[in-house]
Amino acid sequence: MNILIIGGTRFIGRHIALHLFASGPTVTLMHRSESMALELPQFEHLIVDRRNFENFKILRTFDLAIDTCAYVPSDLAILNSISFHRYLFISSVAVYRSSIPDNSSETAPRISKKMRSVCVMNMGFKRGKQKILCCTKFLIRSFCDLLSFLAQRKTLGD
Amino acid sequence: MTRIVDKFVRNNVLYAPLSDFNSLITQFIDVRDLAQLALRIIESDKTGAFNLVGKNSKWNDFISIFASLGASDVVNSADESFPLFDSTKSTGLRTLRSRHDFINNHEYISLEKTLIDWFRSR
Repeated sequence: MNILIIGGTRFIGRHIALHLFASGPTVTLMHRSESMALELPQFEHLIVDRRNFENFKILRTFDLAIDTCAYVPSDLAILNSISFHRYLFISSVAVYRSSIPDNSSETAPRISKKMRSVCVMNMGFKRGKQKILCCTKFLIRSFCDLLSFLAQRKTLGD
Repeated sequence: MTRIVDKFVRNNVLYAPLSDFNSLITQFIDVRDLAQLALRIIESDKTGAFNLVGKNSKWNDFISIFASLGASDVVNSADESFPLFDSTKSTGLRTLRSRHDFINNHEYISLEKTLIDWFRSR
């Protein structure tokens, strides 16, 4: 298995990368830090800035792309330069409507189109609200069959 | 959350939500649990949405563990230095669950171990 982790050098991405490496797949980390490439020599590294990637193109196809650091919809543009069979998006519980009852599951309603507009206007680049825009962009692109979507709660650790 | 631990490591002061929130249930997940569950989803070839929210805890538990690590003071603040809890309308104050058994049945790392390991790693 050939896996790409976008933003795999810190926090969630780093832990996923280390767990994956221990279980056998080939893991490639895409990030901006040359020093991190030296710190994590067991991985292949693609040093690229997802917000400034003119003429960047990866020719091979990954079995899975794990995206740990798409915070605004424009962050997804780089995916047009990457080929993959499946995509795992690390999202946030902020994608759910604030009116949902306690103990709601994954079927709980997410923020509506109208609410998303309000959030963007009022909250700027507040991370959680932008995450739902990222998710929605994928659904519009009919990637549903490829997409796994993790809504994470307050995550603790290094 | 990282900011809370970093401030604590620097000056032994714990920045916590207003005391009104202390008995509220909240959910924390250790990044190691999140990574393990993500791998299980990958290995199972499942697609869709997955709530990885961890176990229910109280803020009191969080504060008590920090106290045991030597917190000299607790600063209660709901201003910009602690924006997670500035509104009761936030989804951050609601508990969520998963409809996937493998997530619900996962053996989560305890909050105490998470915080102690995290503190020692700083």
